[in-house]
Amino acid sequence: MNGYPLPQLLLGFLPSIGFLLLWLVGGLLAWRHRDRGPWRGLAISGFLCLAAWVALETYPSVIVLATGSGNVSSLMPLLDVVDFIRLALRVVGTALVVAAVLIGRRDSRGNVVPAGVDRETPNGGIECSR
Amino acid sequence: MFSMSYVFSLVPSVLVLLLWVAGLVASAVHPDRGRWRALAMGGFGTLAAASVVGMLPNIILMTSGYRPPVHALLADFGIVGLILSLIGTGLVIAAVLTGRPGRPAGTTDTIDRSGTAGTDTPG
Repeated sequence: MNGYPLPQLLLGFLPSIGFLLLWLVGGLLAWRHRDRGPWRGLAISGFLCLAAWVALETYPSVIVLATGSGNVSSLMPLLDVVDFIRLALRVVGTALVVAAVLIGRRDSRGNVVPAGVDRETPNGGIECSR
Repeated sequence: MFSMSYVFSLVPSVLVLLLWVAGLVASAVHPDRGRWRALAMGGFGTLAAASVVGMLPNIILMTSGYRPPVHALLADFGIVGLILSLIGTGLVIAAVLTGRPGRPAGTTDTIDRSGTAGTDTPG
């Protein structure tokens, strides 16, 4: 292992595995939820994006485990692409989860705002955006 | 000592921090006062704090360099950031799922005009 003890490498995986399980459980719970509102798609996509981001976070340890050393100079262009994908997954996943938390809640009158409804008219009706 | 690579390494964390702070503000001003709101504010706040803690090592290295006392401090930041991230993740997942009306698949939302504003639906 060239200075990288196996137990320490495996211990390094634990936090990532914990986060991965959390996001996957969140995605599974959202998928099985009885409410079929637009929040559900956002939540499942967001949780899966963040699970993929966490999975990609482990790649340095995986490379060390696979190659026996941290010398990956020949893989550098590929790792740059992986870094970019990782960043994109993290930002997109975070935005989707924030949107999922906020979408489909009640308005100031306590009504659940259906998908496609933007605002209420002065006479109490609802005005659809599509 | 001051390297642009440290500055660039902060960009992803700043982006994510801004998103968590935006979620925190949006939850704070949301008219719905259900249980989800407290979970969301707690989760977004905790994850924003975790992002800040995640940025601190780079900021410290950028300003003071890599010395033995700094090395010990970085390990502490790692543990604190990890704990904050775990708590925040759990709270945000709970916030997403809490307070959703449990409608069967294929049905549509109903508009309630009975004036029972502010009641929270068990999730």
